[in-house]
Amino acid sequence: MDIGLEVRRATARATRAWRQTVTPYVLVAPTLLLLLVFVAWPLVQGIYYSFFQTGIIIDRNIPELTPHYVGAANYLQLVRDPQFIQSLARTTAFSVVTVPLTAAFSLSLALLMKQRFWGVGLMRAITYWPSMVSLIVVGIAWKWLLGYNSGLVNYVLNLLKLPPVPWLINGHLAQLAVMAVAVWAQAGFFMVILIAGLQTIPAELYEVAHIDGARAWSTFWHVTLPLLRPSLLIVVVLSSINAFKIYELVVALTGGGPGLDTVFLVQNIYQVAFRQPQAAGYAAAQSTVLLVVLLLLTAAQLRLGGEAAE
Amino acid sequence: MTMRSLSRREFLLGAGATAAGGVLAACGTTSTPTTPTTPTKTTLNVLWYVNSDQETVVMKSLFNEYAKSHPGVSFNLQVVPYDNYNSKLAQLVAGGTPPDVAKTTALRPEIQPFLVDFAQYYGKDWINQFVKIFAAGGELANKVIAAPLDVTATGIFLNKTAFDKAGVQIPSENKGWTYTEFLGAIKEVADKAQIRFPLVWDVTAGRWITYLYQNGQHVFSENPPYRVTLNQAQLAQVIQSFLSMANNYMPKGLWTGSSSDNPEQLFLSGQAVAWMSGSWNVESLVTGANFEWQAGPTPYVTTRSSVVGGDYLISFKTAHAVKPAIDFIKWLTAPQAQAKYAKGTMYIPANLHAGKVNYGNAMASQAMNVLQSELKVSPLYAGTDSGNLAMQYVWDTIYSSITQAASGSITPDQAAADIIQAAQTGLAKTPHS
Amino acid sequence: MSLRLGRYGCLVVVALVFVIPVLWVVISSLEPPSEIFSYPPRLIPNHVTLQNYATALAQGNFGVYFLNTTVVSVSATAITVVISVTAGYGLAKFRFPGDTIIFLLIMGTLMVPLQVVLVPMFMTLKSFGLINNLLGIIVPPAATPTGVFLMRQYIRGLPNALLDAARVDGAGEINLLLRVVVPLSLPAIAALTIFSFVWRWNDFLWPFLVISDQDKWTLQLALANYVGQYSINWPSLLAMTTLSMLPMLVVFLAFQRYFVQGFIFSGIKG
Repeated sequence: MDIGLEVRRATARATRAWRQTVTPYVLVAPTLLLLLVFVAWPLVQGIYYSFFQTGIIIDRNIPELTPHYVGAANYLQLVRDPQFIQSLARTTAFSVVTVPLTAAFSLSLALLMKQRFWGVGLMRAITYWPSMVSLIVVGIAWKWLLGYNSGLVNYVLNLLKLPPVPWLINGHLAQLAVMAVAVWAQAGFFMVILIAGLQTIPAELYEVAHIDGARAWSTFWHVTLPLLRPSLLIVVVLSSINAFKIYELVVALTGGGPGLDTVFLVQNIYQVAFRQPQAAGYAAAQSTVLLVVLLLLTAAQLRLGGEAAE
Repeated sequence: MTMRSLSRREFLLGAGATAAGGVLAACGTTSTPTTPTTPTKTTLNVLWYVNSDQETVVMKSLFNEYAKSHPGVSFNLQVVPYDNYNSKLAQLVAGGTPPDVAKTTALRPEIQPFLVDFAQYYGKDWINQFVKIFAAGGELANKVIAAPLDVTATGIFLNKTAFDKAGVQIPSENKGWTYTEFLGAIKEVADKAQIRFPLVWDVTAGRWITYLYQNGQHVFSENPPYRVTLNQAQLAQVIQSFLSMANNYMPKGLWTGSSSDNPEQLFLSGQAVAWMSGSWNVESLVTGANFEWQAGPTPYVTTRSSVVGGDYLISFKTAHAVKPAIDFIKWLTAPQAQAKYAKGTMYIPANLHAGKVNYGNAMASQAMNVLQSELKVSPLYAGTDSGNLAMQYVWDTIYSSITQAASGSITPDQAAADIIQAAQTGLAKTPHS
Repeated sequence: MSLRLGRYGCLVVVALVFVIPVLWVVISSLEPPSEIFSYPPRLIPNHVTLQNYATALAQGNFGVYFLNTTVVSVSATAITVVISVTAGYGLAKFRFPGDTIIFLLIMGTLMVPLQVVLVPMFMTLKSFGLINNLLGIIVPPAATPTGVFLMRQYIRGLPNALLDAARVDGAGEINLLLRVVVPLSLPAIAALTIFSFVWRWNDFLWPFLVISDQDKWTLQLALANYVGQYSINWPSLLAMTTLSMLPMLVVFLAFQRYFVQGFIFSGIKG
């Protein structure tokens, strides 16, 4: 009887332990499987062909469409390709500027709109609007606003007797314009994440801080910011990835111009892959570099952000 | 010189037949009834991009007409956005499920090995009924891998109402005008008729190259063995004079590539006197312009030139219904269907025997006549350059070099060097049989 | 008081900065085609007309596209929310061999522009029989790294003591998820629901890969066809963009109500 009980208890413990081991895998499995099959596997094939000279269609029965193994040649070519180097440098500069700005701006918006007030739903919706339409439409709307000859902004400047500003047709200004519009376009999305994150901060903590006579700024610094860290980490990681992958918005806003002044990494990759024959392998090499850079960056960000949250 | 004029005559021989098309159509390829209509049911997948809603309507009515005379054949029109068209085509081909019939502008190298050789089915002479210079772009080593569907011509559109208002005369098509005369006239019209911009010019490599041709220069030799005919100093000179024209007559910054000014919108809303574009825009002019307009005469520097372009039809050896697809393509490119297609879409038919198309609008008909006549007088290279597969490597560089020079980040000389470099790379990488 | 005034001042500025581009799209869609790009630019139309809407709706089968898009967006969102919550929970509250690798693997799928690998993606979809099938735009894209990341970060912030207390009470893992984690994560789930609906509603890439036949089109495929070889059909593009925004606006307004502070942790001590 006692022995039976012991056995049953032991079995129950073992089952429980086994369940504990298996549970996380079961929880992660659906997402992981779908991503592995439909995205990661095609990506691995892409990376594989970064060691080949090949076009986008591969058919080993047809000599012209059979990939040629070239070893690291595609990667060596990257180093000597000024267009790639320049677009990488531009993209890096773009991220360094836009990631902190996006975080700061979306946090300000979230703090402004975390509470209920009359019209808060509509205000949040307006801010989230850029995420509701395609980035192409966002780019086109801003293109219309910032036009040199006929744009609304210069028209208003003209009414104020101010000279027109070459927002999009001057290289430096166009780079600034792309940064500003990019921050504007994603702020609403990250605001929503941060508003959700702000709800995890127990109201009691604010009350305690208030009783202690802490000023608004000090409450923000010592209560809000540390507790919001997990959500801020999302903003930093995702906006870094977005920054390195910026494409549609720029194509609609400046088309990469003036000249090549706003051609970023992904636009360069597309042009190589789809406009130049037999260059799919080379484009894959550029994508692989992008993947490695982003993986390292994300791992570093997770480590930095994770330690404090633990 | 003899060489040039000879080949040019050859070209004229082809294009010139358009005028006589009406007569020839009668004795042209009488559409021999295809093999006894197969009783089996076939659905043809037709991959298409459209330039207007109207085009879908025209295609569907042509499908209906064909289905009536060919029982058992039906159509599935698959419309793909133009920007993503080549990508979709590559997916379908790679997946072993290519469309039965597809429209295309560019015979990308990766799909070429899969294409049906029409000469095998229709005979070698079949291709001769099309505008020669454009048809040549679909011929590859004794094979005909693309059937010409329609032809486009680059040229200038003028706001006639503004000219009349300013009291400025437009010369006759025969007389034509040089850029000096043309620019003087449009400036005067802009001033007198209070129009914001004398000139707008589509910001594309294809439209820019018109100016190169009008300066008597071109990228590649017309005939094999191919070589780059550009000279850096002369090319730099052309770029320089184009940029000074852009600075003085076009909206500021238009050619930097990032301008918000859209040539089509500016011209259609009456904000520009002249617009360098092409025959494909006749439909939008007919529906969108609320003033009187006309095509040409297109100005020249040393040479009167248009640029030949257009769309082809292709089919795939791996398609599921090759034979019915080939019958349909033959039907669609024959004079009778060509006339209907061209009329409905307001394009220039590629088939020389399609006859004079009545576009149902006086301005449209005038424009098409002028643009076609300008194609006829164009030098041979207005077609051979774009037909040369090595141009695939050059178009992007033309665009990026000219826009960089316009924004001041490189000199015209550097831009010229870049274009020549790209042309040489292109030739080296392109296998010419 | 001055703080509140400052707050409203900020809100007005924010509203202006965000609303003008929206206004341009909506107002231009109500203008006759010839006036959309007239000069001087204006935010108040001279003539208001529904002509662009009528033209756009008369062409193509917008009822069908709308229905397809709704079916896809709603079902894919349901799947996304469920599998992201489970995956987020698994990655947030369990330490297991391979957890970091799995997480980076999931995030890694976000880091490469997919347009470069469309051909292999197409082949994979084809081998599962998902081409030209609405399931192909419902199931595969339902797994989203962003959704998993969002839920993981949010659930990490939930106090472990709560979960342990429930475990001691003998709650199974499923129970724990449904009774403790989900109710506490409502703000994040609401955010993910909004995101996911908008992603699927606006997605072009997957429909482009999967769908060929016009009767299976989504709105975004129809919209993309307004950008032609030579020019853009502005009147129809602006009108249909405006119409296609409305369902997203409704979903947003319905779910943003769950962003409410206070009720979550009332009576709970971390």
